[in-house]
Amino acid sequence: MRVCAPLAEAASLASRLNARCILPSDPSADLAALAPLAEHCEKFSPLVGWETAEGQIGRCSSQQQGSPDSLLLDVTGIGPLFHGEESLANEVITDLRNWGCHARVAIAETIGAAWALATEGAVNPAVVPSTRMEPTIAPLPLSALRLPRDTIDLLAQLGVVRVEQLLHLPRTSLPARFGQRLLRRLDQLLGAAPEVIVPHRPPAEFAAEEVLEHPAESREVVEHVVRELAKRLAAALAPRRQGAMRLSCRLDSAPGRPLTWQVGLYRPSADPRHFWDLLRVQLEQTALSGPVGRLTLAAPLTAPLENRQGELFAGSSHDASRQLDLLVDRLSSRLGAKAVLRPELTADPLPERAVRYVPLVESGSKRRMSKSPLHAAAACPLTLHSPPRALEVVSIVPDGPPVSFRFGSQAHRVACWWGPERIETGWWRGRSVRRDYYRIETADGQRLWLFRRLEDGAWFLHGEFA
Amino acid sequence: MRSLATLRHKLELLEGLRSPADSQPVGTGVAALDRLLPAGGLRRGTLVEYLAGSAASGAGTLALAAARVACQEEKALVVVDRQQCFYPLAAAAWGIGLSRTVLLHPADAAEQLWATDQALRCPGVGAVWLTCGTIDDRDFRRLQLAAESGGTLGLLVRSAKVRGKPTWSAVQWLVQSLPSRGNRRLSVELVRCRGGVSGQVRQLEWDEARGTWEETSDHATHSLHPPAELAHPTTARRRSRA
Repeated sequence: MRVCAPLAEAASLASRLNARCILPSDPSADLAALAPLAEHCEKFSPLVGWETAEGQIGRCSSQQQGSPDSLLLDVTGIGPLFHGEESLANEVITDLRNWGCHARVAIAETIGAAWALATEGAVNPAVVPSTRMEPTIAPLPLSALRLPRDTIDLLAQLGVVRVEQLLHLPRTSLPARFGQRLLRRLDQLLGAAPEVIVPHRPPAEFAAEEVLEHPAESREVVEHVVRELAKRLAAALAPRRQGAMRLSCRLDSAPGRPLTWQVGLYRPSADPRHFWDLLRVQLEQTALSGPVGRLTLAAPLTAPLENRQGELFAGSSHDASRQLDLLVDRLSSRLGAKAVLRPELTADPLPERAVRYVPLVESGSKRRMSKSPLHAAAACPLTLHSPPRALEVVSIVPDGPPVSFRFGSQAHRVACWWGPERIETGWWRGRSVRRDYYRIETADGQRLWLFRRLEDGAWFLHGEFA
Repeated sequence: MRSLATLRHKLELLEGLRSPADSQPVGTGVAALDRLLPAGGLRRGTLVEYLAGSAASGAGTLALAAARVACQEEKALVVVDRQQCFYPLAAAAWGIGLSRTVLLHPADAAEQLWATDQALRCPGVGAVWLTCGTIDDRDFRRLQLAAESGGTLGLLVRSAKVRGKPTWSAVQWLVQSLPSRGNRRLSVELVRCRGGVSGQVRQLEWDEARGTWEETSDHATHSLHPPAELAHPTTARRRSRA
């Protein structure tokens, strides 16, 4: 399949492959699926990526940025750890099969050769020692060369379809007709030009890692090591006057997927006890999937620490606000950043959109001045039902106020009402909303906030003056 | 009069309360209710319950009035809202600074309890406002100790169904709405108060012009205190002892 193919072509291909559905190409989703796979492959190699320093590799040409379709692993010197490169390649294939992927693996001297063998080679896995590289590559088709489609077509018109034919052509005459790119690809294939893998995630500047000689199963050992890592991370941060804004912790266990979690902080911190507090609430909630062999703690996001002047008499107000920061961090760590919020008023007339909720963590500690509320205190309900609850309402006049209504099993009589207050939203906001709001008091004195939807006259309970 | 205060102080010490001298009382936000309390207000480091006689009775609003007083001097208000129905616009309209308000949406009862406990323990928090149903006795005690250690005010809005159940709160109000046809009217009963006289009822009316709750003595629409209660002095006495 190729990018920008007509739908009919996709359909014919799908019927041949017994595919059930055709999805539009979504590079960002592809990338999102590839990222965890790359992370998983870190157990085979310290350097995993899908890009080289020149950009993405793959079938897409340079103008057309598609999604990356291969993972690059630097396995220099890794072979002996897995009893040879053959068995390493086999292990990668079995491992990825458990993940649900059919992998084509090739190990070769250069990135270009490995990619060529993985995509166009006849065997899987293909492990090619440096001595046998040229004869193995020579019979491959030109599509193994990571060239733009039109260059390949042009060469095919001239009868050049295999790599060996290209290698026999005079080197000096090639760039004039096919561009500099062809020569570079050839050099990269044979190792005459360097090529570098870009790691799929930049290594964090501040990180601490511990590899256990004997993988630990006991939770206490893991907790102890994480606490040690927190100390080491804090010791690396503090002299540079940097504080962590985000912590990422990763536990690699041999059989299962690695456990990872991220913790956001409300204010930069370099306090090991605080780190441990935040990590502990996460650790308490997760089950270890197996013995843990490697533990990594990193601070991918840092910010300068605030300088605090020591106070002669411990200032209560400053201490209290610091305590509050620590509380926000603890709450966000356990409940999740989306559950610890600061409300902000907006200028929107629609009640459910009049307040915006901002997660406190990582939104920074900057406090924006909220707009002053437009409503009088007694006119604003304390609780708001979302979505509004449907009511059965009786009103005498068609567009008039409610007289009595049924909510749940109870019937209520309206003793008193205020309104209507009409709220309409503009057409540019999507579906327009038109409502008449009434503040009502029932015979018992309960105060409720009802509205009638003007489109169909349906009544809803939106809030309570609780 | 002086000996009465000393005795009351001794009694509070026996009950395990902290000495009233070490903390300034916090107003309830309603002058008429402050007058009912022996200390002239609520005390930091305690739990206060607002029992709602019915839905939309005004208990939450009164609790918010107390929170507003407790959260002065740059202290934060923590709202623990498991049902996710608290409407911050109302809090802003009642004069609470949203920049110092932290809204929590815990997913389940265990998280709610944990978050409330943590918030109550924090000295940077002025008050914690939460709606909750039944609380396990040990958890209730845990919250009370948390409030005591953090010196924060815990404001619990609960249904009146829990009235008479064991409680660890220092003060318990019962809030009921009264028909008004004008400014909002509430009837508030002091159900329980350590060192105070329980069973007292006050009627409040919202004064739109002044922006305060004022006490009314209009007995014409007085729906509480049915005469039957006077006919049974035993129940009245029992309630005043509770």
